[in-house]
Amino acid sequence: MTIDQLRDHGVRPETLVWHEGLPTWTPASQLPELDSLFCDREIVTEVAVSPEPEATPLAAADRSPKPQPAGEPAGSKVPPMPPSYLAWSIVAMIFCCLIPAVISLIYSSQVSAKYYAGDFSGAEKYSSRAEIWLIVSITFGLVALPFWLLTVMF
Amino acid sequence: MILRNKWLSVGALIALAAAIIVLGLFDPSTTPFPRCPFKMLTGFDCPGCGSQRAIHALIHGHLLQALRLNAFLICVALPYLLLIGLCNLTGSRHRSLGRALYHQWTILSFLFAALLWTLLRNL
Repeated sequence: MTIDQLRDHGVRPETLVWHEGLPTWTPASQLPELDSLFCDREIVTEVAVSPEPEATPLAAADRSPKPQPAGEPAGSKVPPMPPSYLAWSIVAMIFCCLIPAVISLIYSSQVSAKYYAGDFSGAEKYSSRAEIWLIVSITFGLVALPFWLLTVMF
Repeated sequence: MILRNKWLSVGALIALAAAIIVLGLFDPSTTPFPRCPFKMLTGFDCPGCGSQRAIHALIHGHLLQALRLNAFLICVALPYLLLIGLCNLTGSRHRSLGRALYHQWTILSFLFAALLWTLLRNL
């Protein structure tokens, strides 16, 4: 796999990757040969034009026919953990409004639970649900603001 | 996927920092600050009611007064938020502290504590 193929797969610094010679699954940010993946766009496009020779032997997790290290399900792809919007849901709950932020918080608790249980599409689903309810919460707070102004003026 | 934009979180963080500075400069109990929509609609205190005054008191060093205004914010929510922020800054979301902070039962316990606190303060 080349650097730009990895980039198309959405590999991020915290994505766990493995290739021949690595003892265990490693965050992509710790592999020097993947540094160019996370630098600015200019360097990445240079790599796309002339692929670095050391980048080619790197096999992405899902394509590798080699035996997997113990503890990881064979043939699985490990995507980065989707955002759970935890901190923002708490801020929304305290400063904005209660009910939508509580729903958002319940969904964000499911993101890490699903992710660490290996259900990556479930984590993704709950992440977007948490996001939707966070947006509802913020919208509600912004809609309530003009009403507060009315109570100040009259 | 609107909220995944990195610059949006940066902007929100700047807005939050600005709000904290404004809260430090002005006293929310004498200046007209935005009021809680939950309180306006229902008349009950939400888990965050008193936060603006509590943060103002905290910035001015009145810890006891801040605790009296919103004990949940000072004792639970603020430390939790600070730990999450620290965890994200150091990029250790997948190490033990990060896993504990984002764990399902941590979040649900936090939620339960917040709802219990809301119930108790309205009795």
